[in-house]
Amino acid sequence: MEENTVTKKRIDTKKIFRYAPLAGLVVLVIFFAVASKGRFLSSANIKVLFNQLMITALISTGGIFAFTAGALDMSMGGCVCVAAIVAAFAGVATNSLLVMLLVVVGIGIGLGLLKAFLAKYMDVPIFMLTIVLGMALSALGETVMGNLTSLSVSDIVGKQQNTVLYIAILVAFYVVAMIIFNYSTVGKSAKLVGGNPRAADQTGINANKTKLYAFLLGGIGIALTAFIVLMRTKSVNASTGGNVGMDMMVAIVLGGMPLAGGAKSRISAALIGAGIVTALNNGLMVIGTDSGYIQLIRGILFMIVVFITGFSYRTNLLPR
Amino acid sequence: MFKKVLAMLLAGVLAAAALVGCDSSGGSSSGSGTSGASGEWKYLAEGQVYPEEEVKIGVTTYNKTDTSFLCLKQYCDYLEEYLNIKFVYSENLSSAEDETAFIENCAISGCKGIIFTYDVIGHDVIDLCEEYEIYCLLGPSDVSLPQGDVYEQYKTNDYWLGGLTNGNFNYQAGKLCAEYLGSQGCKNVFYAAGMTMVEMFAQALKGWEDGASAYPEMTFKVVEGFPDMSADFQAAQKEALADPTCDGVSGLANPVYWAQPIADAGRDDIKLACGSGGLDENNRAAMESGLMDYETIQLPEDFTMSVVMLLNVLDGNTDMAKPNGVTELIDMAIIGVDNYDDYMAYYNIIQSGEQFYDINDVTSCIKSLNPDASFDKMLSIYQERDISAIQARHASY
Repeated sequence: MEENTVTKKRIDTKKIFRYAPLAGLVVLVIFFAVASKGRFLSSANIKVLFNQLMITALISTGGIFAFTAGALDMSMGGCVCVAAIVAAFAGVATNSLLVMLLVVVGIGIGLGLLKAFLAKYMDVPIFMLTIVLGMALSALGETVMGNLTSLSVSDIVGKQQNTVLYIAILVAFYVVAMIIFNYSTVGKSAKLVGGNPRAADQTGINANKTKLYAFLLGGIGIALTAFIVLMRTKSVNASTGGNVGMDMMVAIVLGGMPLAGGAKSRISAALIGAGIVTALNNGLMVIGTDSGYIQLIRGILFMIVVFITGFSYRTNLLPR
Repeated sequence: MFKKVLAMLLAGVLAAAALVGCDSSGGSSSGSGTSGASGEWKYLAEGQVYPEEEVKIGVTTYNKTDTSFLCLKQYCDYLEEYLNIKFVYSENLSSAEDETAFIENCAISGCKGIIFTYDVIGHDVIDLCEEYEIYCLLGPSDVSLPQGDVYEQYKTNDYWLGGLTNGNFNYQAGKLCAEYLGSQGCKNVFYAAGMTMVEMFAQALKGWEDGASAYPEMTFKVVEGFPDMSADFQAAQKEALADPTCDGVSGLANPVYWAQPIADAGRDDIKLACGSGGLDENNRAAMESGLMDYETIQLPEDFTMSVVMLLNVLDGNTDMAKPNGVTELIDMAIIGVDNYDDYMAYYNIIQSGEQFYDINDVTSCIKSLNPDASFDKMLSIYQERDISAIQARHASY
């Protein structure tokens, strides 16, 4: 029998799907740069892109841990709302940026602990729990605002956008999150718990403890996001953080994150997804797209990505 | 597998269709402003293109399906037809983050100014506009107007052009509705307050309460929300309409949202006063059928003065926006209509293709086109509310 000396190269579809979000981001950037005749990549717009990227990137980086562990956290918007509003009041009362920062961190961590506690002791699916919690927190934010329609903090945070500071905060948080996600037992445990809770339990991983850490890290993300919201918008009102939760969901899915979490989760999905959402929103406006079409395009892209993600996601672990 | 591939293909076709349908700055504009005026205007010669370079103007909105926004857009399309300007509309803004991003994107896409028909940031929006070197203009709805000390702080800001503000439009709307129902002898009124954490609804409620204070015999129940909103609101609404002593309803909501609840309750007798401000078919039909007894109207073209001020400033005629070197805030009176004939007098102007402020009015206020233009003359044109006076002015051109 003759040996078949022809070596067949197989297309590694796993690699294609793995790098597709990044490739998508690059394609978007190139497309908008060309379509806008360079305006998209002007120094002014790059600054704007970074400014707009911050909120989604921070909340996604923090929230990805819970998603990885299979906990669909739908309360992020409400959490940011309450954290920002209470911190704003504290900041205005004391005229101190430091107090504002401390309050926002305290509330973020507190909310993370609350979610972990509720997840452990309430026998309700986490996504349902967090939907209700998000609604309750938004209502609390509205109550705290009282008769005020908005509260300005520009005297405390300054009137200009501080892009360098935003980038520094994001980079620092992302690096720490990446190390925890990829190299620590917290991150690895989260992937295993998200992939197959039963198998993870039988290997000795405490799912509740893992989710506690995940929600705490999410709490840090909430705190930083709320802080950046205050820095960027210079004010709070009852609708602060309203779109944050949905933007996070869209971002991490567009970034290649499987909605069910698990082993295929990647921290890079937070940053890449936030980049895609930001580039899309900004680029479509820069090239003159009617606002009515921007939402439609976003929705269709989201649908396509979810579909493709469904193609690519095959757990190597035992089925649930 | 086949179904998945088919689904993917369908999604791709949808995406392609959406992208093909997109407007693009490289394509032809929806207006014919670049081809010049048609020659029938006093201050715009035939074929004249003004301004020479296209001016983009951003417009913020809370709800793109709202009647007042649709009327505004209709007029914007009219302006785009004759002037070399392009309006860039926001999506439905719901948060300060969205508004901030819109301002930034407008600045990058080349907008020279933004008309804020909706705002949640408050006076900080002026700082943001200054940072991005884009002019800040006020539109025909409530915004968080700088007042008192804050006004003093910002009145000399180069990027805040002020404008024709119905800054207390919603206050006036609430007050006039209360005064109407009070004058009609209503004793028990249901007031749909909308979302009072938003400035415009808070102002409307304050106006309502101030107006109602002149009629102490009129009691009213304030309920948060709108007729098409939460189950709680709908339950309260149903309960109120079922109460035979309830003889009036009011709020900023469009009358179309009251039609079904009132019909379901069989309450043709109830008086409806809407501060909805629209001159459109829905409101007309509501007035004609007797569903709506009173409406406060803001002329959808009021914001044009902001556009005119911007164009003058871009031409270097800053005195047409800041005659005294400081930002001017001009409160405009709104119109209250309590009968169909008066309503139709205003409605017919729009339906006949005429405008309250036609291109002659607009261009007469642009100093580079009409050297005799002045801030006071511009003000007198935009403050004219009487139908016959408007028509006489148009005939005089």
